[in-house]
This record gives sequence, structure tokens and C-alpha cells, in this order.
Amino acid sequence: MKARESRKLAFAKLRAQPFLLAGVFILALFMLSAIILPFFLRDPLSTDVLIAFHPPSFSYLFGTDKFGRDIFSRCVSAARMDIAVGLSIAFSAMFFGVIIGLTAGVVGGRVDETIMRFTDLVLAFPGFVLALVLVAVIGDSVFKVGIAVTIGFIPYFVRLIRAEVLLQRELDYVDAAKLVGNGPVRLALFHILPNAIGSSVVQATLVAGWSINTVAGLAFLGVGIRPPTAEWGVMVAEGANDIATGFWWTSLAPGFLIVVASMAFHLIGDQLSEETI
Amino acid sequence: MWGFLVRRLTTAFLVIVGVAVVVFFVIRVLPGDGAALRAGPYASAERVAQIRKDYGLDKSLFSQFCVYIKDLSHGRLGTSMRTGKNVTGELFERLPASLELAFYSVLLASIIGLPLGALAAIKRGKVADQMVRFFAVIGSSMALFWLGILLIYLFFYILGWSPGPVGRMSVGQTLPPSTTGFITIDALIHGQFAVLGEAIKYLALPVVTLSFVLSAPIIKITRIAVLNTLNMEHIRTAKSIGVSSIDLIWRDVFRNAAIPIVTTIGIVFGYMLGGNVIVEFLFAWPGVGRYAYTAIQNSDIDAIQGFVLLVGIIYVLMNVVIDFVYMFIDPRVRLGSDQDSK
Amino acid sequence: MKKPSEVLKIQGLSVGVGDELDNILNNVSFTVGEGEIVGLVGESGSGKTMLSLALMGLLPETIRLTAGSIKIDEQELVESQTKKVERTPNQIAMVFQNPRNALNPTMRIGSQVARSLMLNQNLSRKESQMSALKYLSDVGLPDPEQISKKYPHQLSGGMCQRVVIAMALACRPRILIADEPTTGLDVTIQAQIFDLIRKVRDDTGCSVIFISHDLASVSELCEKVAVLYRGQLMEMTTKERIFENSVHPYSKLLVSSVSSAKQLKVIDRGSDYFSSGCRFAHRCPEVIESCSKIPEFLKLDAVHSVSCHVANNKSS
Repeated sequence: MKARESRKLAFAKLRAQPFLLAGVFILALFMLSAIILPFFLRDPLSTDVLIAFHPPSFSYLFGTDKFGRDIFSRCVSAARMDIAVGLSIAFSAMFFGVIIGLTAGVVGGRVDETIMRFTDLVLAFPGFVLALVLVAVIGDSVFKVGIAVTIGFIPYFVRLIRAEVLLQRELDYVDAAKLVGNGPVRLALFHILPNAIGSSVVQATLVAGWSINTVAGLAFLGVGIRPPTAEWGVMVAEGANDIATGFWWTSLAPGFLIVVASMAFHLIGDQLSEETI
Repeated sequence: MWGFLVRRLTTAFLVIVGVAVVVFFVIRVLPGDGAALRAGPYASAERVAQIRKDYGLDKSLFSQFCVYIKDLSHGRLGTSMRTGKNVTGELFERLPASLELAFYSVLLASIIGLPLGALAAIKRGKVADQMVRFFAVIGSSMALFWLGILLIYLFFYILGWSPGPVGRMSVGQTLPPSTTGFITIDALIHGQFAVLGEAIKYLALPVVTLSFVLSAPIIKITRIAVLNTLNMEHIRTAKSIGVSSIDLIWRDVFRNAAIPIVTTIGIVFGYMLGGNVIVEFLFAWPGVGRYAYTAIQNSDIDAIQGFVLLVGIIYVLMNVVIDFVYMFIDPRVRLGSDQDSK
Repeated sequence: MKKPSEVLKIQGLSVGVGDELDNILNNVSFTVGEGEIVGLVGESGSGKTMLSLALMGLLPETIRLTAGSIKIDEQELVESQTKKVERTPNQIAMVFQNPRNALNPTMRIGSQVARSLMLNQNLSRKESQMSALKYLSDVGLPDPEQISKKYPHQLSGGMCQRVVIAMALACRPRILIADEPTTGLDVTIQAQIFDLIRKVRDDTGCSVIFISHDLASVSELCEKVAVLYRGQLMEMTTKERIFENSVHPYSKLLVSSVSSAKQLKVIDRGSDYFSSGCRFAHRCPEVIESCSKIPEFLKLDAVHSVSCHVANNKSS
């Protein structure tokens, strides 16, 4: 098939999957705005009490908050942080989870059992609570929050990869590869892994979405990322009390973006997992 | 059947012991001076030293561990720095509130999620399916705290239909005698219908907020489970003898799809019991989650430790309950796979 | 001589999947008389199960009936516009393969049979429960009281098979389709199931379509045999004729593989060979030029029809 034809086919397939299309579109929008818009926007940290609590208007798209900061530019700045953090957590969890899961599946025996016990242990605690407690003990910072949340998600990948590896292990191509002389590490990395990784990639998109919610939720509670950093959860917390005086945009605008960003990932993940059913 | 229960509980007990051990080590081993954390950022050096002595933090890890185990076997989860009271007692005081909230939220989420998931499976690929899946995507992506704030804004500030987020009941209102711990049920059995009405009003917003989000995983698992069941051959047999669609759904599909669905609902409920920090915080709900939040804000290590242990115990017990429920649903679990080959 | 009434008359049935109209079943026509036991023989992929599902109106979502008529007692089952098959259990009932999977794992045996009775014989709950016991004993299950309280996973394969038969019989069908009912069961059970089928036919006068890949068992049980290959009905005649005097090259190969242990020479010209012609052309030892066009299913005489150019040439 010629290059142009195969591209047309790819686009046609994309159009038939509305969720995927929508998710990718939203993400692209976020990426673009995060990269391009900061050049045109006001400083997210600059305050000007005289213009505090302006409702959304043409010049202040999302209005201003109690310190007179432009909420829209803060939101865009927060977008970079939140989405970057979400993606990093998803990749890290997948990276470590896959390595651990591969080891468990390929090596088997006692190693496998021990790994599974630890996985079960971590899974006993809801991800949010786990991250909350970990951050409380190890301290606040973006990096530490990332680690705390990542730990909670690693078990998902461990289980997924391990299950796939157990399946793949029985297949003929593995025997063939062994016969040719591949050692266990090469076998695991170059032969089994490519076939086992599919479901983990799909899971990663979902984890990215969940991470955004978790990090924002923690920030809302004042844990992890704190004011005056522009982060969506922080902004919602800052603006929460303004609702009492009728200023809804300070908290509702950033919160809305959390949902949209998370949705982008979930739309993609949902469509991808649907393909595999 | 009882043998199964006993075996399960014994395993559960061993797991709980394991969890307790791990919790101890994780909290001790993590970086940070335990005494300094407990004393808070404004304490003097003498205070920190005093705390170190009082809490036995100057002793070896091993002897600390022994003290810990001894306390645990007496049901003492430690003493709260903040209130000076026994953590165990404080947690149990607050458990009914979390339980009531979790119960109604999961109930409503199931009422929404089960039929939607089944509908999506039956009409797979069609518009109804896409709409349900979209709804589930929104639920999964929803930020609980944002939705809570939004609903409070709409229904309290603007419409005035709902009371403010001050907890389970209006301030100053006397609660019914605590038989079950559920304000709604207690009010019902003691005939205090006015209180029942009030309790429901206060439950409304947090329950709706939670159910919206909780319905998403229920929809997803129901959809998958029903899809898998619909592919089973006994569905074909039922259709061949003329079983009606409704009877088919109930007797042939649901009872066979139930296991993964029940598992998910059980796990979600277990997570809600201990993990409901955000909603309890937002609505000032006097539950376990809010207690944990306060403990964390105050670096109340013992309280945090007790809370974490409670969450682990809830999870383990929930799994026992789920296994037990399996026995009622699936005769293969109940009776074991014995075959009489005649 | 009184012509036996045609209980089932299939004409020009075509079933397709994907973009094709007839890649699963191509223009199949045959009839089944009252009280006849007809065998449908074919290897896997021949379309025999799809044929039975088409008759039952239970084709999976992606597979469609694209042409043809199905008449039971002169009543047309195929809806002309939508091509959907509307049948009642009273007309055709089916005994599926894999009996254990065909039963609901969470429902007691007795309830499953009783349900079939309630739906098809208009009995009350109590009546159907009593009648279920009778049906269970009729299909040869010992101690029906005990069995009716059990669940499918507690029964052996053979017992499950009898339960499925009981459920189908409760529909009091004019035609009973049995799809590989003895596959996976041992030989003694097989003989018992055959006896049961004969008994059912004798007692109720229903017709039976017995589907199998094994010509030997088909010949044991059936009076007439239809041979299916890749969706094309190749030959249909009496059991005796098939063995002594089959005309179609494929049938002849089948028969010789049953009656002798001799190694047969395998021919395979690739499935693209004569792709719009006779479906057997790529493996046929007697293929000729005309086979590039798909042969019609023609009557050789009153009890013998065949779809083959070579056979037609010989007879004329």
C-alpha cells in the first residue's frame, strides 16, 4: 500500500474511534497551549490587589483571584506542571512495574512469591491514602509527591506484566528463542517484553489520568504541592472559600481543567482497552 | 461452609499481623526524626528530647517493636499527640460516620452503575453503549473535591436546597440513640422522622458527589462481565428454548456475571471506608478520613499509624466478606467441583 | 406410494460473514421428511454448525443470512425483508455441542428443565417441576430426584448431554437438531445416546438432524446422509447409497477413509483454485474444466441429489 493510502486508512480508522480522537485532540490542545501561550500571557505569580476578584472577561479569561492574579495564566502554567507530573508518574510506575513484573514472571519461584506478597500489601491501601501518608512522612515537594503516588501505581503494572509473561512463557517462540541460545535477560527483554507490554501501555494512559486527579487532590488538601505554586489543586483550595462570597471562578475554573486533562487520558485509555476486548 | 469461614479468617488474621509489622517498619524507617515530627516545628529542643523519652523513641528498634506488638495485642493503636486519647477509641468513634457515608454512596453508585453497565454490554457498539462509556469516563476523571465544591455552590449557595457542609447533622441537633451508628437507621427505628429527614438532607450532597465517581468502575466492570457472559454458550441454549429477554438477563446473565461485579463493589466499599479523605474533609464529615487528615496536618504519628493499620484491616476483612458472598452466588464455590461420574 | 410429508424444506440458503454473501453457506437446499433421521456430515469449517444455527435463528451478530427460504410444515421462517429467522421452539429445538457449557452453571438441573417446560408446554411451576423429573428419567438418567437438585459441574459429560436433550425435548419440537452430541464422550455412552435419539423419534415422531464429522457414527444412526464441504452441499442420499454407490468425489473419499485404512493421496491445489467454482475443486481428483463454475444441486433420482459436474456428466 502506498504511503498516502496507508495514511488515509489510518485517519479513517481514527475517525471511527471518537473517544481516541477527542482525547488526542484535547491533549494536543493542552500541549500546544502549554508551550506557546506562556509567551503571550501575564506572569502567573504577579499580584495586583486592585484588580482582585474580577469575573471572567475578555482580558481576564478566567477572571482574577483574591491576590489579583490572572487565573487563566495561572491555569496554563499549572497545566504544564500537572500534565508533566501525571505523565512522569505514569511512565515511572510503568517502568518500575514492568521491570519488577518481568522479573517475577520470568524468574518465578520464591522471587515471584515475594514480589506478589509485596504487591498485595501495597494494593491493600487506596492509592490516595497511601500517597497521603507517605508524603506526610517523607515531606512535601513535587518530587516526593511524585514518588509517593508512583509507588501506589506500580503494583498495577506488576500484575499486568506478570500475567502476560505467564501466558507468553508457554508459547512456542520462547522455547525456540531459548534453543537458539538466548539467556534469560535477553529472552525477557527482547522476546517476551514486546509481546507482553500491550495491556500495560493502555493501563499507563489510565494511570496518567488518575495521577493528575491524585496529585491535584493532595494539593487541595495542602499536601505535597503548596501555594503559591500554580497547580490546579492548589488553586481550587485557595479559591474554595471564595464561593461563600459568590466568586465561583477562582476554584471552579482550575478544577474544571483537572477534569478535562484527566478525561483526555481516560478517553484514550478507554478506547484502547475497548479494542482489545 | 463453616470450615471455609474459619480457614479464611485465620488467613486474614495472619495477613493483618503481616500488615501491622510492615506498617511499623515503614513508618519508623522513613527519613525524618520521629520525635521532631511529633513535637512539631515550633518545639524547643528540650520538648523534643522529652517526647523522645516519653514515646520510647530512644530505645532500640527491636524494643520499640516489642512495645508495639504488646500494645497491639491489647488493642491499643497508640496515643494521639493532639488529643492525648487512645487512637483505637477515636477511630472506632468515627467509624460509623464513614460507614454510613460509604454505604449509601456505594448503594447509589450500584443502583446507577449496574443497569447502565448491563445496558452498554447488551447494546455494544451502538449509541447507548458509547453514551454509557462516556459517562463512565467522566466519572473516572472527575475530581471529587471540585465536584463537591460545585454541588455545594449550586445546591447550597444558589438554590438553598441543601444544608451547608457542616457534617452529618445541623449543629445543636440531638442525635437519636446510637443503636447501629447509622443516623438514618437509628432515627428510623426510634421513630424520629424529623431527624431522619434532616440526616438525609445532610447526606444528600456528599453521597451524590461520591456516587457519581464510584459509579464509573462499577459501570466498567459490569459491562465487561456481562459482555463475557453474553458470549457463553448457555445463553444460546436459553434462547433456543425460548427464554424471554428479561428472564435471560436475570437468571442467565447476572448470576453468572456476578462474581467480578461483586468483587469490585466490595473493594470500592472497602476503599471508601478508610480512604474517603477528600469528601469527609470537604463536607466536615466526622469520619475516619477526616481524622486522618487532621492527624497528618498535625504530624500525629501514632494517629496516622493507627489509621493506616485500620485501612489495612478493613481491606483484609472486606476480602473475607467478598469470598463469603461468592459462596452464595456461585454453587461451584459453595459445593466444590465434585463430579459423580456414573 | 405415499410421499412422506416434508417437515423441513430448505431452499437456496446462503449465509455470509464480512463482505461476502455466501462464504459460509452457499445455496444449500435439502428436505427432511417426517420422522426421518438425517445425518449432516462435514469436516470442521464445512458450515454444518452454522447451518443449524441459521435454522434456529441463532446466528451470531456478524454472520448473516443473505438468501434462501426455510419452511417448516409449509410455514416460511425467513422474514423476506430483514432476512431474520423467526422460529418457535415448538418447530425446531437443538442439542448443542459441549453439553456442560450449554447449561447454566448457577442453576439447578431440575430448574433448567422445568423452565423449558414452563415456557413451551404452558405448565405451572409445580407441574413443570414434576414433569421435569419424568423427562430426566426418560432420557435415561438414574435417580432423577437427586439429579434435579444438582448443578451442572457436579455431573459427568454424558449426563449433561442427556439434560440438554431433555431441555430440547421439552419444547416438543417437530425437528430436533443434534450437533455433535457424542463428541468427547466415550463409545459406550455414544451408543446409549444413539438409542435415546432413536427412542425419541419413535415416541414423538419428530425428525432428527444429526450433525457430525464422523461418517461412521452418522451411518450407524441415520437413514439419510447429507455431505457438506466448505458451505456447499455436495451430495444427499440414503445411508446405503452413500456407502455403496456415492457419486461425488468428496463423498467417495470420505467413505474410503472410513472403510479402509489405506492411505489416501492428498491433493491440494490451493484454495484459490477455481475460486468462484465448485468448492471442492482444489482437492478433487476428478476435476474438469466445467468445475470452474459452481455446479447446481440436482436430483439424480427420487432419493439421490448431487452437486457435481462430473457426476452429472456420468448420469446423462
